[in-house]
Amino acid sequence: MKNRLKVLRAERNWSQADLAERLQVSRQSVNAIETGKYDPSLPLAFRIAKLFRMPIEAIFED
Amino acid sequence: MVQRETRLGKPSTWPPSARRYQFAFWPLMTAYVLAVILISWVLPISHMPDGPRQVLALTSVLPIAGVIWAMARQLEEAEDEFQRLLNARAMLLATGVLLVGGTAWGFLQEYAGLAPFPMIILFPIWCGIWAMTSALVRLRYR
Repeated sequence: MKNRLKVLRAERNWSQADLAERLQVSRQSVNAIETGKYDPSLPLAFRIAKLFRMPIEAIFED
Repeated sequence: MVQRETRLGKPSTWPPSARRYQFAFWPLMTAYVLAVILISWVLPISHMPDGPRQVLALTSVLPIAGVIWAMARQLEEAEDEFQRLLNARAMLLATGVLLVGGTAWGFLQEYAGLAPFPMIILFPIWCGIWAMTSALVRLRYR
């Protein structure tokens, strides 16, 4: 699954560690999601969407 | 409570699941070491009747069972779902390596004269393999 996490993070000048802390996950988790190696669960996807104040489908796509 | 400074400057604590694991792990490991010391060097276990000797010999197994239970609980309760996945993969891989290695040893023991496997160190060996498989599964996601 593709996603815009890296772009959205860069727009806010956040490092992977900053984003990880805001989501309360590890930096490794953020990296794995950004690179498409791991698809987050629905609850984590909702947390990401809430943090960026966007609908899930604006961040993740097939 | 263990506190650490976060990158955003706010104090935070270790995840509750990790704290619960530490609180279970260290007392259980201490109990295991004490039990091993007791049956190996303190108590005259070799001069005891079979019943008490068997019970005492098994006392060190209970803390190991407790540690495995704590590991399983930590795996189930870990807050970071991705780390949970990596841990589960590493544990399964370690179990697979131990099963294949153990079976190979068994056949070599049966048909090629290899010395009997020291079953007493089975769990420490699994932990050692788990440390290696943990590093291995994380390599891909550095």
